[in-house]
Amino acid sequence: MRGWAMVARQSWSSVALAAMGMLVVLTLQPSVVRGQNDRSEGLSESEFDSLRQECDLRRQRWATIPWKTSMTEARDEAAETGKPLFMVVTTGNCLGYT
Amino acid sequence: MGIPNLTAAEREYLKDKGLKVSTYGLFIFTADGKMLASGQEYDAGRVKRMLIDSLRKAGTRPVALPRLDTSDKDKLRKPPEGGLVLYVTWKVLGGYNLPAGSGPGTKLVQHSLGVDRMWVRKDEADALASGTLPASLTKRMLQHLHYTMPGHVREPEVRLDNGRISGSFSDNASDQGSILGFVEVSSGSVTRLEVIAKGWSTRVDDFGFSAGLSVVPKGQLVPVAVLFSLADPQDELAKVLPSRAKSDRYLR
Repeated sequence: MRGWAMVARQSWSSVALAAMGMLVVLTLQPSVVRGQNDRSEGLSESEFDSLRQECDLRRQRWATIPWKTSMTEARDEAAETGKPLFMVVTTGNCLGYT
Repeated sequence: MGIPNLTAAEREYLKDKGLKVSTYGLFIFTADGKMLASGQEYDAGRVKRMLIDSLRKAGTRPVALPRLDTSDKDKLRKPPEGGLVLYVTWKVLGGYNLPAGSGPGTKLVQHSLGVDRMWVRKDEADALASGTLPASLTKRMLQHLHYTMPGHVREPEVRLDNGRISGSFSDNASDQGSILGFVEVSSGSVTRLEVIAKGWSTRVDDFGFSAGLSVVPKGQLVPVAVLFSLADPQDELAKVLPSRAKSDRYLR
């Protein structure tokens, strides 16, 4: 894996391109109304910290790859360096398969 | 079907290199347009082999290419001037076992993080900085909760008080969801915005965008957490369009 990681850092111009394929139709809720009673005792600050870490995008390994979201910039860099482009097309969610 | 944020020249360049893929695809090609490999791999080892084989085919010679026309770059969708970009991520917090015989791809998806973005208008950001939670912003955040917890977000209440966002929502007496978050401000600008919503959900089928929610067994109720967090708009991953930004009404 270490050898591959070195290749990835040194040899690739990467492009992430999110293409939406979502077909779910959403129904919006009415405007939020401030309630009389406080029902917010559910989440503690320690649980908040734990869930924040679990949901933190920056802790995903795939998110540490130096992606480019501009096709033009990625193509230019690939041409200058002589490296291929690696493009991931998803419905907006790169699951770390790279 | 969503439309990628591309200039006309970029569309032309990509038309035979995965532009029409709507769910998931991997494409490797040279700068001058020669396809080297494509596929829909979920296995890290096979993706690695695809990359290494493509490197061997491509060689490493720089090429001189005409630049793509970027005269229509200003027409691409961008975050609102002076506003904020948030990452919206979600995760199924366990609560079930996959059926026997589930493939390795399904097991990967089970633990995956759902990812989207959300834009905040300048006036909404200014309101947050002054200690007010605008209804329009709450409504936009609730759209994400309705997506990740369909049918389980009713009677939502959300408030901001001294930098602390709190709230709740319910489906019935036993299915209560909670919201907790924090806003920090420096020199009149929001420097921290993090909100967690935790509740219950069921399977969400939409070609994989729902990430871990897409493989929950039908009828199974599972706990879910959704995080809204402030992104650096200069981060490349923050430049991906929010899923709902294709609509002209998105920021209303």
